[in-house]
Amino acid sequence: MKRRQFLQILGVGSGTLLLGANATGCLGVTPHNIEDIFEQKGIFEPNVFLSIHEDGQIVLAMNKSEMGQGVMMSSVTLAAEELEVSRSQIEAVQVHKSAFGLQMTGGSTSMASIFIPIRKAAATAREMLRMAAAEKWGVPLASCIAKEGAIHHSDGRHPLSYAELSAMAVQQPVPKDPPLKSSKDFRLIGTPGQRVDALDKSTGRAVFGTDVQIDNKVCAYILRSPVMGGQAVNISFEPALKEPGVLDVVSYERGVAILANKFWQAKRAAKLVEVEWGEGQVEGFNTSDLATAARAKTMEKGDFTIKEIGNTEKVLKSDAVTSVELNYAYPYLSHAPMEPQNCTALVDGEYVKIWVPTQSPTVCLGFIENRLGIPPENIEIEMTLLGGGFGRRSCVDFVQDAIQIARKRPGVPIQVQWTREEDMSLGYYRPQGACRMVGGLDDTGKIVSVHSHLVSQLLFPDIGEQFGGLFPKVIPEKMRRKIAYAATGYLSNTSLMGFIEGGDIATCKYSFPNFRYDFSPIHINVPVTAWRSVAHSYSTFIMETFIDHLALEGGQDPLSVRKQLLSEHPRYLSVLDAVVEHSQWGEPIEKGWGRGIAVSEFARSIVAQVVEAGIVDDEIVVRHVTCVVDCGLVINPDVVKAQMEGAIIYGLSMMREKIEFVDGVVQQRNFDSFPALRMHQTPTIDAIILSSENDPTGIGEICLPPVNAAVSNALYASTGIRLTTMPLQDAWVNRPLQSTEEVSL
Amino acid sequence: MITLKVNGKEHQVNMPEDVPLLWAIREEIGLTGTKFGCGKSLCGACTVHIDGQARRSCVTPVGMVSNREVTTIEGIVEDDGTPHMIQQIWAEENVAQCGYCQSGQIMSALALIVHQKGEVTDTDIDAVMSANLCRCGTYPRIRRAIQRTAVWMQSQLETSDET
Repeated sequence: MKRRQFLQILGVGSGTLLLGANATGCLGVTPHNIEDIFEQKGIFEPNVFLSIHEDGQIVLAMNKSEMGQGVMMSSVTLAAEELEVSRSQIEAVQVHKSAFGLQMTGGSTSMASIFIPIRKAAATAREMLRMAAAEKWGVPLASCIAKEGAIHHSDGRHPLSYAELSAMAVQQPVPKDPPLKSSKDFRLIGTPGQRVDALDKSTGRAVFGTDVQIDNKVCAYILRSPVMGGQAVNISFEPALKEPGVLDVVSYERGVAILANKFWQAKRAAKLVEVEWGEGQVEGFNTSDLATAARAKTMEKGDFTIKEIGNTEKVLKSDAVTSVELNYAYPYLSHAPMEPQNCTALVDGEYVKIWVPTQSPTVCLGFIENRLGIPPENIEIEMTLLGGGFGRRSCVDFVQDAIQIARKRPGVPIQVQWTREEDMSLGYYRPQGACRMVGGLDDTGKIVSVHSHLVSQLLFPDIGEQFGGLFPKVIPEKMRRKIAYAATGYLSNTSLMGFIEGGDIATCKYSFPNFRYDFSPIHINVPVTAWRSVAHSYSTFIMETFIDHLALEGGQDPLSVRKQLLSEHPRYLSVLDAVVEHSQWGEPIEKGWGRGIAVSEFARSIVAQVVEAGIVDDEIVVRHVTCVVDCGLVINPDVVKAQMEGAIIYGLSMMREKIEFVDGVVQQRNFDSFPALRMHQTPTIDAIILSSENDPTGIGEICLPPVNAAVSNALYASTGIRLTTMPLQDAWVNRPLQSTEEVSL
Repeated sequence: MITLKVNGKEHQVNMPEDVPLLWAIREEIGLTGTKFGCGKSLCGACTVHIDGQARRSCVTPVGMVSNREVTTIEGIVEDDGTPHMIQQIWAEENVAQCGYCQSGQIMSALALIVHQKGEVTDTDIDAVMSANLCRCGTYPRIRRAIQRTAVWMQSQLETSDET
């Protein structure tokens, strides 16, 4: 069923059982009362709408974005479980509805936030169908059993299908607290199955933003300033207008757009357009200068002390304590989803419609409202599948392109398609930064102190502007900040600058007797945002290599030290024990290879990994990863395993990826210079899920953070060289020659 | 006018010969299963078959394929709409995550399996499939799906040998 039909069905109502549920159980949450929910629950929880209509079609309106993480499969599984239907009987559609309140997919929060609401919505439907059958048959409700898409009577009479009952079900009172199935009765939850989107994505039928077909659409190819943010000061484009299909060349805030009937025509004609660019936002900027400055700053006193336990300075002054220091650095990174950014927009007077692959239609809505001054009720957002997200599609710069260009051609849908070069060189990025770690070991080799000084760009310096601009105005500034933090997986300490940037350092669970985390912000006009696992992508690398290093410097076993310092955290201990059990940790390994271990927490899930790595022909080779997660109760085990594999591979790509600026210009512009991991570099992966009865927690990002730390630890075991700079491959090639190397190799 | 034969059907496209085939497929013929990923033959999202061989349509001039058989992801589906066995196996193995690169992955994989008559080694998979990027990290499942499809291909060839 197409979305248009779906919306009509929602509107018609008669004969259609239309239900909603949300975090508080009331219908129709508007942005005006989001804050209430947020305050009560501490985290925004979504709504779902289910409709069952006369032909038996069940439609689940998703409030989450499907970007590969499998939320469509999981949403359908939850609804099918409580409705007592098969997954194939439910069609899931991604829709933007103001009744959903905030729609944002990120921070590995989806399962935790929809686990109860979707099941409640489906259970409500199920109960009303049972009530309808009881009325029709004139029998007690208790004798009506929902099973296989129909209501059965205990006396074995012919069952009534949901299609037959939907009209009567509409008339039933809405149960206040419909019973949810007990976990022992789950048919689908916890059982592997084929993803509901698997066949469409194997046959080319899946529709992404770039595939949107609209009558009379005009395609835009955009020329950009070599230094991001530069605007055109002079354009000559007459020859381009003579090219076939070319309609116009328009200059706007973010570039010069060539408009044509087809994208290939626009791109081809662009060669005939000459542009003189004004100054960009990072004119003259060099990442190498930033690296030097950040490193120097780590040696100084931190601007802010974010966390302090005991007194690290005092401890280090003691004669009995040996100080161990490591200096870390990490680069800007592009998300580089396989589908380059794109958006289609129609601006017609006081009406705007966009077709967009986005992690947050709410952010898109707020942005359009703020930018064009158009009320939200006149803005329509049609969501497509996302060809990867990783945080990048929580930004709205591609929406900005589309609406600003579309505004110049009222009534015409404008499809903006970025090239890979634009996608990689225009931002947003995972920030670059540096960190100095100083540890203290007592005379027995015990860790008595850890002091961290992180120097980094702020991830969300101004939620109003930076996170796109962008939430609807009715959401107060305070709320916007909370939402942004919630979306990135942290809820506590939202007021502390540097907390989110600190990631695993800020949330460190190791019971160091003395611990201090200092933070110094970098202020620079490079657009940055959340990148898969946010600050954990570097902070876990830092923390998990440093503790390894300290343990070994103190003559102790890195695993035992971790377990001692995490003795108060049973979930950590369980994943560590399990990863040892499932890997060959501690067993002999052939010369040239080593094993490294790391553990981390993100989005309330815990992960431990053992990696086998070595150096072959001066290249880092990772040959095997054993990965254990505790992510609470599992909805779809195979979806979870896919996320484990995917996050490990995305993480291993970091061994070679970097974004560098030279004189303001981004150097990496395509996959030749931004070498994402490929098939032949991919290790074998054992993905193990610990069984748990706890509510589901995050899985989309958790397996990324530890992997580079485990690789670095494995390489230290095999070579005696400690790599503390990312990308690790560069660090290996540029390693200072040490005497230990000769000994180890 | 260039005459293109795509998925067994002839199309007339009005475009200069040096325009990449990808855009003829997507914009002129309207088959959107073939994807634009890099434009430089670096990611493989645009992979199609030209006379049975896997080729990157983003760097193949449309003028070069005028008398050749072009097959896209849509073209390997049976006439009655039944997906090709490789597509069914891809679905059963839950290979796709975001799915954007998978048309290209499948076309590269199918060309490999057919060329090798189902005798596909891990080294073959590494060598051929390293040309296709996937940011979601579906490589372990792609490998498994190729191995399964290769076994199926062998059984098909054995059956046809017997008959």
